[in-house]
Amino acid sequence: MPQCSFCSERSVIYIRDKGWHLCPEHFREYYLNKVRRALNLVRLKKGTFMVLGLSGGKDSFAMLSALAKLKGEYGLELMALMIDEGISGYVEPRLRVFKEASDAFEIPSEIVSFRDHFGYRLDEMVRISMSKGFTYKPCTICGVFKRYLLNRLAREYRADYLATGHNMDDEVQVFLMNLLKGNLTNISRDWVVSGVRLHEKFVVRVKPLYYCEEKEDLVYALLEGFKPPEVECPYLLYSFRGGLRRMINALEYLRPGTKRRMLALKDALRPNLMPEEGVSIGTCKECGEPSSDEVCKTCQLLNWLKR
Amino acid sequence: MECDGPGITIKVLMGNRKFEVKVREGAVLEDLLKALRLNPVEIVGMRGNEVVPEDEPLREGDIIRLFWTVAGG
Repeated sequence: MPQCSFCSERSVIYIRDKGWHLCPEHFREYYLNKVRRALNLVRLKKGTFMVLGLSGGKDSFAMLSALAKLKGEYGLELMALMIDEGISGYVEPRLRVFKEASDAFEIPSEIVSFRDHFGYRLDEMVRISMSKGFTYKPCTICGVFKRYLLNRLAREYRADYLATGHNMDDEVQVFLMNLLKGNLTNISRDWVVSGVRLHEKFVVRVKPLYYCEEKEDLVYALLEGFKPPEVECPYLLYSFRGGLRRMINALEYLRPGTKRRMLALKDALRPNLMPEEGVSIGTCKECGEPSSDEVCKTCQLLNWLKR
Repeated sequence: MECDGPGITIKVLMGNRKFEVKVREGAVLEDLLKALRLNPVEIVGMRGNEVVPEDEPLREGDIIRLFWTVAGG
């Protein structure tokens, strides 16, 4: 039975690139220090109101649990917000996890749905898209509407920050996708904190799990009582990122620390890619929300669904 | 799934699936994952209520639950 590198307790995880075995308590400390590392870059003030955009998955659970532990230390006021996309059979167990977790960690919570805000469940939108030649893939539709709704609701709740459960793996995958597309502007925007000064209606986004690997999120969540819902998103097979994720993780296995080094590379490149005058975006002429086009992606998609 | 020669049998639970895998004596969790063509970077294993690291030695009759990190965001 492998033993913790720092005490005599049983190990629960082997941190491959450091050669460390960690017991539950030393792993919790290691994990929370990674969350602190991200939060310290945000320069939070006492009394900061942070809305947590959650999905009911492991990253959400880990973020909720970690921030509930750290809220006193940082003087945070928290609220948990979950979007019900409307994916039959998939969303119900996640809503249950979300509700139980926010109650257990004593964080006020709210659930809002695509149906209430846009008039369609995601399942209906996917059916419409399929009938029109599958122009938009489910993850694209879901991502556009979710980003829109989270920002709008966080603003309506008067949040200082909107926190999401994006982890190191997400960041490295997006970095590589942007590299492959040659999209340097997106690389320059993507960090622990994003959305600063982009638009007055943008709530600044923060990613407390930026330095946490996906596997670490799952181990932390399991140690904190997470019961993984045994259902898979039925639209996962359409995800473009799946192949990239497998490639990166294959590299990580062969060369432990690959993801950490790629993230460090991105962070080192980022300041040099930022436009001198900063990035600003316009306003959608239909809904008045922030948009880089005349009509935002959400309105474009809604118009397309209704046609 | 079977290894050559004498070995130990492990019961594996993954999602809604249950199956048995025979691995060599002295095998660790990482060996089981490799036999299943799974990348240890993407998998967390539990024995009962305990999370176990990838170099955890396996024992005859172990019931190991595997969680795929990629599943469910």
